[in-house]
Formats: sequence, structure tokens, C-alpha cells
Amino acid sequence: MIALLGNVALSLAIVFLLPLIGDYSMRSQRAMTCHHVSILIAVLLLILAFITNDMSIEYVSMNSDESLPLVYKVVALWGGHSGSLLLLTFMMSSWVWFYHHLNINLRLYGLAIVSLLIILLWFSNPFSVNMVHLNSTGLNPLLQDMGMMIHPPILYLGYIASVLPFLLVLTKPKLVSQDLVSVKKISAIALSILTLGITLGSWWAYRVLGWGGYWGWDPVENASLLPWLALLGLHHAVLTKDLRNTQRFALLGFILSIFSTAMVRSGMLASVHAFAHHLPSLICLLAYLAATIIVGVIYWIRHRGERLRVPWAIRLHFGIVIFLISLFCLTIVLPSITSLWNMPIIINERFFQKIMMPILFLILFGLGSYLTYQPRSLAIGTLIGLIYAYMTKHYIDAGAIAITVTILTTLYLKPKRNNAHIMFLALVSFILLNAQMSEQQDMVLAVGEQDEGVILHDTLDTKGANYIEKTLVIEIEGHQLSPSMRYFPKHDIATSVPAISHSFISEWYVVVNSMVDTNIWSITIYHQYWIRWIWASALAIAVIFIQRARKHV
Amino acid sequence: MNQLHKKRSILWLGYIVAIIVALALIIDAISDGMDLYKSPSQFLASRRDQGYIGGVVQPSSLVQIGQDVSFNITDAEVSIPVSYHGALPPIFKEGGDAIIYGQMAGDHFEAQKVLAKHDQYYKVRREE
Repeated sequence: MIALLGNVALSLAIVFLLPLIGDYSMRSQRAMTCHHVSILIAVLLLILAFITNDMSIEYVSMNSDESLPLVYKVVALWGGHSGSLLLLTFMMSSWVWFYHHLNINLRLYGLAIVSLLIILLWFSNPFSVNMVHLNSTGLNPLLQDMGMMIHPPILYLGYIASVLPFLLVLTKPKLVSQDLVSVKKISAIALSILTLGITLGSWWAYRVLGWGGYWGWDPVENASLLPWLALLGLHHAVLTKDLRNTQRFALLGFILSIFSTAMVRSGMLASVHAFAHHLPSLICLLAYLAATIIVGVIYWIRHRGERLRVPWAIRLHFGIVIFLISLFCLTIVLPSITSLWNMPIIINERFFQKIMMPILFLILFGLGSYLTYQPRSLAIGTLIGLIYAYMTKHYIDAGAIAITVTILTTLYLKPKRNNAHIMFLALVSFILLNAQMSEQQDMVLAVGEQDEGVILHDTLDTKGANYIEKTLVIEIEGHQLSPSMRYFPKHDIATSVPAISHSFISEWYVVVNSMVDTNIWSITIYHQYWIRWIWASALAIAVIFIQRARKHV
Repeated sequence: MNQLHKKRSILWLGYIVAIIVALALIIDAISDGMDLYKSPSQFLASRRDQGYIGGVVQPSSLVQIGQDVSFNITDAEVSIPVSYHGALPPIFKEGGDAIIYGQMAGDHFEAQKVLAKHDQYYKVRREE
């Protein structure tokens, strides 16, 4: 029943696009609302199917089971491929519906969304009915967590916001200043949402996946940076009223959002992120991507704006953004291409670290370039550097700290203070401090044994709703930690739940690797510094972008 | 040569130097951080001592004594005995995919790094 209604709702969403062919603005506005509401109904129906355990629907039976807690049943909506595509489609129509006053050419929007709806209906239908009765697999255990609950939809919401600048630029080759103001607002909102989403993803990976770090240079993580970079470029282009770059980044933003979605959600990437491999929808999404690229290129050839002389720091910024976008795209695509010729390559963090260090230098150089000399901030910086050098005798670190503090105070004392830049610099400083100070150690301990201040007291057996759990009670320098290992019999997967004990600047992080023997456990201990501050500054950037969006300038 | 020419040529010189430096940095990063990995049979055929091997952990070959681990990594054709000192990643298991980095020492491979690859599929466990 729900399956039928869902299909009807999705088909209605296509049917309501028909009035958009004619161009009566009142009528198309009403049609748009109906179209939006039908997609909303489809989403609600799928949620209803999950809540009522409608196992006749294939997607529900693949991603949920009766034993799942209610919250996760709702979350399971985007646990698989079709559901997340449905959510993405819904968000796209929401953005356009909400910003109807931008006077976007709705026919273009119709083309953009009808292809997604067709993919949903014919190739990756979340409402398709089970032909044979399968044993339900249930939601991937790694995804059964709060972070999972919130971070993918937030990311999608941010990604797909880029459809607005894209369509706006396509509608009006000559953007007037009023449009630029709206693009500025939209890009600020999207950046804020995306920053929040990426931060939450990073936090989730740290807390649940037991990675022991905030960023692993995993292809999926890099893919999530692509739309963010494009939007950042767009935001700066709009601020400098540079039409050419506004067009460039508006086009790139949407293309890259589709690229990320296609890469990430179709199991194209060999990554620790496990997503179902779904070939037909991958081909469809790639075709969709190709179509957007073609549209973008043709538009760019025909309508690109005049070259404008903008300040060189801004030009440097655009250069860096374009470079990073191409770099990440290459590193994402390259392993898939080379494995076609049976030459799989592996790109490890060293590659990214080596590339990012000079880039970081360029970014700091650009950010510093438009600062005016402030004796006060130099004095404060030198003072703090000297104190640090006197206390710790680490002279290089002290020099770095002195420079950072000088730049930060200069930024702070500027007449038109830019908080986002300050927080970005703070973020970079915390990342560097974290890399410099954090430590990691592997250990094998028997119950009751003590080694280098680490005591394994006991192991406890517990049982969850759909898993069995073994919890270790560990004491490190007086901190009590209990990491655990969960086993999900239904999936035959063991996941490791790390334990964290945090103080103001540092934290202990323990993850269980495996049981070596009865009562002998292999664990990894991380001592992380400043890691919470990294997330805090990223969140602060997100908040600052919200403020930006609300400013009427 | 007038002022403008001079200024332009200095600018071009700057661009060229910047591009050379950037290329050098990129090549350095690629040589350090990007590797081809080979299947065990390809690795043996290449007669190289050091590098990445990607294969399947042979079932019932894993032996762990404290931090010392040994297992065989295999593809359909050959299997290489591997020794490793350190913690294995949680998703590492017999019959699963793994990528190891290290060098040959006599008849066995001394791994310095062991990465486990996630299974892409979440299948229903078959009753046997």
C-alpha cells in the first residue's frame, strides 16, 4: 500500500512539473508548491514504511529490522542509496521552493529535478516491492549512532544549496547587484551548513569509527570538501563583485556537489566508508554529472563575464581553491581509473600532508598580506613567544606561536574585523598543535597486568538490543576508561567503541583492536591535544557564516 | 629595455620559479605518498624487496603472540608469509582484504604497516 502511494507521489511530482512549460508565473508558482509537497509526501511515506516495518518494500527490508530502536528506523531512511537520493531530491526542491522570490527560471529547475525523479522512479526506486522474501539485513551497525543521524542530511542540505547559484547564473547571464546580494546570502548559509556537516562527520568518525583522529584524508572526506571549496570561492567572488568568478564557482559548485554524491553514494570509492554498490544508479548519476558539466561548459563559453582586476590576495585565493578542487578530484578519480588496468594505487596521508603544507603557507601569506602593521600585536606576539620559549625551551615552537599570535591579534585589531578569518587561523593553529603534540601507542595487555602506567583491570560482558559487547576497564594515569568491542551476530561484524576521557586541552582515547587470546587484548592508546578546539573553531566558523547571511549589505 | 619590459620579465621569471618549485613539491609528495600496490604473485614476480602488497588474509593462518603477529597473505596463486609487530586494525580478519607495507626478509615479508580493507557489502549471514 505504502509502496503504491509512494510511487504515485513521486509520479505526481513529475506531473506537477508540466505546467512549468508554459510561462505564467502565478500558475507555475502553484505548480511548484504542489510538486514540492508531493516529494515531501514521498519522503514522509518512506519514513512511515520504516516505522511500521513494512517489509514488503525492498529498501525497508534491506536497511531496517524489527529490533531496531525507533529513532534509527527514521534514520535508516538515508542509510542506503535510494533513500538518500530521495532526500537529496527533496532538499533540492525545498531550496528552490523556499527561494522562489529569486525568479529562477523554473523550466531549468524542472529539467534538473525531473532527471533525478526519473532515476528515483526507474533505476533506484526506494518504493520497489520485494519480489522474493529476503532475510532483512538491518541497518549497518556502524551507522547506528547519533552522528549518523544528523550528519548526512546536513551535508546534503549544504551540497544541494549550490543548485540555487547554479540556476540563478544560468537564468541571468548578467547578474545585477541585487542578485549578487542573494548569492552572497545563499553561499553564506550553505557554507555554514556544510561546515557544520563536515565537522559533525569528523567528530562522528572519531567517536564511533575509532579512527583516533579528526581527519583521515579518506576519499569520502575529501569529496565532502569539494562543494565546500567551491562555495567558499563563490562567496569571495561575490564579495569582490567579480562576475566572471561568480559564474565560474556557481557552475562548479553544483557540478562538484553532483560529483561528490555520485562518487560517495554509489560505492565508487574504495574507502573505509562502506556504502552499497549500486551500478544502475551510478551510471545514471554519472550521466547526470556529464549533463551538468556540458551545460556548464557551454554556458561558460557563451556567457562568461569580463576579466576583472581584483586584489591579488583574492586572486591567490581563487587559484588555491581551483588547485585544491582539481587535486582532490584527481586523487578521488585516479585510483578508480588505474584499477581498470589492474594497477591499484594507494594514496596515503603523507601525500596530502606534503601538498597541504606549502598550500597552508600560501593561505597564511595571502591572509597576512592585507594586514597593516600593528606595533601592539607584534608586542603581544613577541611577549607570548618569549614566555613560551622561557618555559618550555622549544624555540621553534615558540617562534611559530609568536607569529601566530601576532597575526591573530593583528586580525583582531583591524578596524573591519573578519571573525571568520580569525577562526580559520585558530583552526589551522590547533591542527598544527595537534599534529605536533599528539601521541599514539599500541599495546597488548592481559587482564590484571600493568604496563607503562596503563592498567587493564577487568573485562565485562554486556548485551545490547542487537549486539553483544565486551567492555574493558582500563586505567591510564588515574583516568578511568572503558572502551568496548561490539559484535553484531546478524551482520557478523565486530565494531570497536572507543572510550574518551578529556580534560581542557588534551584527552585520552582508547580503542580496542582485537582479542589476542583469552583475557589478552590488543589496544591502541592515543593522547590527543587540542582536538576539541579544532572542532570548536570549525563550529565557530559555521556560526560566523550564519551571522554573515543575516547581514543586509 | 624599458621599465615595463623589465617589470614584465621579472614577473615572468617569478611565475616560472613558482611553477618549478610547485612541480618539485608535487613530485616529492607523489613519490612519498602515492604507491602502487601489487597482488602477492605480482609482487614476487617483480623481484622487488620493498613495497605494498594487497591481498586476502589466508584463513586459519593468523597467529598472535602478544604484539607479534604472523599470517599469510594470498591471492589465488601464491601465498606469502608475513610477520608484523604491532596492533592489527579492528576490522582485520582472516579471509578479509588487507594491504601491507614492508620488505622481504629472507623467505618471509616483514610488514611495517597493516591496513585492513572494509568489506563493501553487508550480506546476510548464510546459515551453514
